[in-house]
Amino acid sequence: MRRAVHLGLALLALAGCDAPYQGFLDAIPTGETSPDEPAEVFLGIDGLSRQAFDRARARGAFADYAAADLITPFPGTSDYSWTRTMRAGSIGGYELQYFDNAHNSMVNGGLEGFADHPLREGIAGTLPCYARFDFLGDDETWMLASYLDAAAAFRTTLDAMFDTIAGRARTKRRVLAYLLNVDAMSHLGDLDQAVEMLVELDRRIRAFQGASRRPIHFTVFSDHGNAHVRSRTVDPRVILADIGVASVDALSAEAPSRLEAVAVVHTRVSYAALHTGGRDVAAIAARTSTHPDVDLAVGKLSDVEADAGRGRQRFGVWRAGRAHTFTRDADGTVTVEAAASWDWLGVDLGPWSDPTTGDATLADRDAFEATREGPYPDIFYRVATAFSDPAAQYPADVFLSFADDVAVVGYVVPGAGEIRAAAGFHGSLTRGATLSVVASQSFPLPPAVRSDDLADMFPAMRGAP
Amino acid sequence: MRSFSSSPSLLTLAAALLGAVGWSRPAAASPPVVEAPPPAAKPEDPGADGPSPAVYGLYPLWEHTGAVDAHGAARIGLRRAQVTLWRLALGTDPYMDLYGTFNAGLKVGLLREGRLRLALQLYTYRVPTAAETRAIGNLHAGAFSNPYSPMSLLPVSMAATWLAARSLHVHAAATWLPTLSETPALQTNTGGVTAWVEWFASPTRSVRLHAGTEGWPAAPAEHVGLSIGLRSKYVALQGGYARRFAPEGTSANTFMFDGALLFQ
Repeated sequence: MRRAVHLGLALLALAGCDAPYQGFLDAIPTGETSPDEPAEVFLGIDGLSRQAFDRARARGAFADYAAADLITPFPGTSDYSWTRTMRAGSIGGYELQYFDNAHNSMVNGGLEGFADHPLREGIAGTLPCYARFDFLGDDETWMLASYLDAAAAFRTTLDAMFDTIAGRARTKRRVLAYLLNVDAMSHLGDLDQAVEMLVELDRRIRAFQGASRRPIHFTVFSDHGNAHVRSRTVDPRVILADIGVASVDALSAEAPSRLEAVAVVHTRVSYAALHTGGRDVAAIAARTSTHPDVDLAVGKLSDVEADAGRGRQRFGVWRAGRAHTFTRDADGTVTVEAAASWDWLGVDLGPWSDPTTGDATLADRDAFEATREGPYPDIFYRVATAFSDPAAQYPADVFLSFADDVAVVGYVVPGAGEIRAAAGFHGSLTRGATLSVVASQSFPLPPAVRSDDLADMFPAMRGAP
Repeated sequence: MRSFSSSPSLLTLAAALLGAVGWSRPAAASPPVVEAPPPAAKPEDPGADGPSPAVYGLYPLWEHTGAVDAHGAARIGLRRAQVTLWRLALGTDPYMDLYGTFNAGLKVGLLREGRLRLALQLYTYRVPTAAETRAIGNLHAGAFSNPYSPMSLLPVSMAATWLAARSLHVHAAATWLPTLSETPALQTNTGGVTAWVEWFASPTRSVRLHAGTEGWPAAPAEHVGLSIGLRSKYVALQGGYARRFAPEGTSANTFMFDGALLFQ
């Protein structure tokens, strides 16, 4: 532990060395590339919910932006979602702490994993998704400052962000910037304060554009939504114990006589990843879904045999102990088994149903359109890709998705007392936790967009020049 | 329209810092000081009986002084490693070298007469492609970026130092900065003027005010800043903060620090 702390302090000191170097670079005057052509700024606002954006718009902000619902990945956590959205390789799991299936052990657990957040998110060894941003934060303490007082830190962060955008837009046509403060405020404050922050952001953007010598257009996007519902915290390990599943730190080498699972408890979010080594997925998911704290449990079932090369995989969604299953082909075609039993989705699957089998078969875009306005937007795609997207090197076997007023307790810093964050969370399959927004001053947008499609729409996000 | 309303508080902070390191302590409690001058020195030459003037500035690229070290003196530091032979100082900025921006330059002392020092400085820097990405972390992103090609900087500066009093030195510099690159936006001819005032609370401790405007006409920017300096016979330390105001109306921090071992 002491070694980790010393290493962290050493990296902090080294990263501080960047300040004079960037100061030197900043002293170099540059002309402007194509000064009459607009520069495009892609501003990633962490935790920008559709709800907060709409309220800001109602107050006149972002009035000249085309806006679309952004359906974010499941599970909706920042490191995973940014990595996936920007196609920036993979992280171990869905957060900095993850379970290594190959070595049957937890990685970056405890204080070490907690301390990894500020380090890997800008100080040193930056995760590739964050390294892609021209602007990430305004000094080594940016993350701490954002959580200690999100509003106070906002002004100085914006000062630094606009300065970076202004300078880099002279020589780059596309600039990527990142803002943490709205996510911090949504966890710590309330919806109104998050809206206030967005209104101020819009004011600063307009002032900046007014002062800029060249046209600069903004496109905002995000990694996940926020339910903006005050939450109580639960511990997935307690949930497992409550329903008779042993919560273990490592899985038994041989098939155990009991049900067992490893729960990853790291940040305060509204989902939990369970690793079972592929064993007893249906049984564990079914049992956990009966727990009053759990809204849905989802799991990947065995691949479908004799699928004629369609790459068909089968998944389950358990609700109050009852299984609802579907398959998804490699081309995205979804077959919803016993479609009538999915009435809780609030979606009429009748137009795609086969009356003889009772199954509904939908093309990928049909499944997207049919579910995007429901309580669990794009649920089939989001569940299936949670297990298959390469952004997570070691995918979970079962996910617990909580209601909007429930969040996983997360890692507790010894001696730090209760973490204040309780105002609203993300990570689950619910509409509030999922729905974000992509809005642009430059580009026309369809009514709704998947996060996974953003890098095709805007190649700068995947690192293209 | 721009203002720097925080200057008074920065001054207060600097005063507090200097106090904390013993500004007002009796001389007996102070660290070793620079040797006192011989009594035969001319009273009209403050350089003869006061602290020696700084031989380079702290704000990067644009800030310089008219003074050069004495013949045979050398220093090895973060921001300057140099040796002085007669009136010629040859040096490099090792800190930039570490980040891959290799550089070297020379400074010629043109005049040392009474209170006035004049010097001409020629430097060259080779800034590698995507220099902004050559950082340990990603939390000090600046305004500069050269994603497609390297560039060369060839600054030429004329600097003056006026020893206004034993405890007050004034430095000013005018710099012409041609830059060469395959990228048209990085091919500029710009100029700037800077000034900084160093007030010595004691021969070993000083506080400085920095100001300047640079990058004309391509990207005119201004800066104001505050720093403190600590020096002994063998070590010189300086550090401070400046606020840089960009032509787009934005502003950002510039942190400045330096430490050097002196051989004289």
